Amino acid sequence: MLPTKILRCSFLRNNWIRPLHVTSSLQKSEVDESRLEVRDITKDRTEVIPVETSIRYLKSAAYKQTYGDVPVWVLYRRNHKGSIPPRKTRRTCIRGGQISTGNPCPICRDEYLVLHEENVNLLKQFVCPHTGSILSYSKTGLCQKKHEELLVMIERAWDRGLLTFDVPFRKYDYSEYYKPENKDKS
Amino acid sequence: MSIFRNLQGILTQIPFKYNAIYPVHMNACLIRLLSYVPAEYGPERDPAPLYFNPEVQSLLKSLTRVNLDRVFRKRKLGDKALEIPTYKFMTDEQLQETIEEAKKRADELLQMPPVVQVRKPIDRIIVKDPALQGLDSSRHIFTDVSFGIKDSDRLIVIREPDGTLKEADWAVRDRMNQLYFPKPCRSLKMPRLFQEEYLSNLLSHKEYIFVLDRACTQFEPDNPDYQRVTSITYQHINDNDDFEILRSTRHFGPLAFYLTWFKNIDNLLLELIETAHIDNANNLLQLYGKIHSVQYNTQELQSLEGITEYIKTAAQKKGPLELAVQAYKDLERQRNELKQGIQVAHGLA
Ligand SMILES: [Zn+2]
Repeated sequence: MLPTKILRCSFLRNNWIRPLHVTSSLQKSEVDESRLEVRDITKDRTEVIPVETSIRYLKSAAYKQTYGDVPVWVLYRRNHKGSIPPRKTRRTCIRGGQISTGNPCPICRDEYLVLHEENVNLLKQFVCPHTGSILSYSKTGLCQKKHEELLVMIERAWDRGLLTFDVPFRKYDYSEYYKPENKDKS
Repeated sequence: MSIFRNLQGILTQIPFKYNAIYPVHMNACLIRLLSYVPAEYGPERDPAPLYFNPEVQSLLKSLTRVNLDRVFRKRKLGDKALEIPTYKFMTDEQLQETIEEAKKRADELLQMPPVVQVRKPIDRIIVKDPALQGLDSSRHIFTDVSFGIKDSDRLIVIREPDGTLKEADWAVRDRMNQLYFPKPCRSLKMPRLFQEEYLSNLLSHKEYIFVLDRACTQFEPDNPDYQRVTSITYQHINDNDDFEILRSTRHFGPLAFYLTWFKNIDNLLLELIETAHIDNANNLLQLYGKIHSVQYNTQELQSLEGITEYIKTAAQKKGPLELAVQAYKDLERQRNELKQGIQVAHGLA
């Protein structure tokens, strides 16, 4: 319990980076900035991260360094045999509170990305900026479980007005609301 | 929402913020987070004959100020495929024709949502059949689903377990109509965004168009909830001077009508004078005159006579309005001087 607490506090101080893949560039940045803490990948997903933490994480420098300005799913690549990917993504990345795959989906791999209706900045990344539709898992690579969760959360955000969208045009038939000839007689 | 509804039963009447002469329905809820009192178009006076009057409609249209770019903005309706733009070679006449057509389509897209009285509750018992008592433990709702009937004319009746046959109230009617004849972007339950806490959040982010569009699809215009949501939104816009956001949308007409109806046009008038739209200001005063049957000298659309008259007699924000008029006069004088200077320089005067 204690190490995770320290970790969470440290990324809020904006000097913490969590490697998705431990690469040479990351190790270099560790050398460059001695204050930058590096933590090993943890496969444990039993701890429930509150949404508020996730919302703060999305605004932090650690997030920016990890993902840059692009949506979280852009830098993800699916692993599959052959050149044609399977039509569906895997059912789930987490089994028994542990990451059970070597290439977990963009949401599962980062435990601080919490799908919740208030986490609007995360949900926005999964809505197409051109058409306003929810992006498919074939594009984002989300596992089926997280994709389902995403659909529910976006629907909840729409219902609460936390996420806005373009409303279809409603045409009114004025004769339903006001009939001038009746008024003239009376 | 149920809390809100329950609380509406134990309302406290507080004096209306704007000293409206027409008595309005005032519902001040105890859990109000927004400091606005929703004002409905009550039973005292029907706004529909005035609102649908062609002259009033044309006044509201000119206040809207059509901007084709805004009207034809791309709406992201969640379609999977995007339309591919087409490019055409045209002669000048063809181009003019197309622009005319576009203007016609813009008129359709700018169709203003109706402004009507709030609906009266339905409470009509058709027949009481004590013989049918205890036939079933739950109510039966009968809906006429035959083709070609308008939602407002549809026959929907309820058989109570005690044998009473009565007409369905509005909530049941709305639910049944949506159940059998679903309308796009309308849910059976009222979305939470119309609740006070979420609505105040949306309004503080200035998502007025979203709120109003959503209210249009979710509610009928005579629904008390529709009038509550729209009136709060209009008041918020008025207090924050965000008229520019609604301009060139279908909601500007109802906004102007609402403000005029409740004699609260000072902010809008001020904005129109400050942005030097004197013709629109005169339009607004014509509308004001029509609704409240007063006469201002607004025949000349560019003159300030009617405006000064209004400021003297009916305005509540006399100071700022007078200052704005003075500033406009100064600006006009400077412009004239400049024009004359140029003419002199060109040797024309
Ligand atoms: Zn996953």
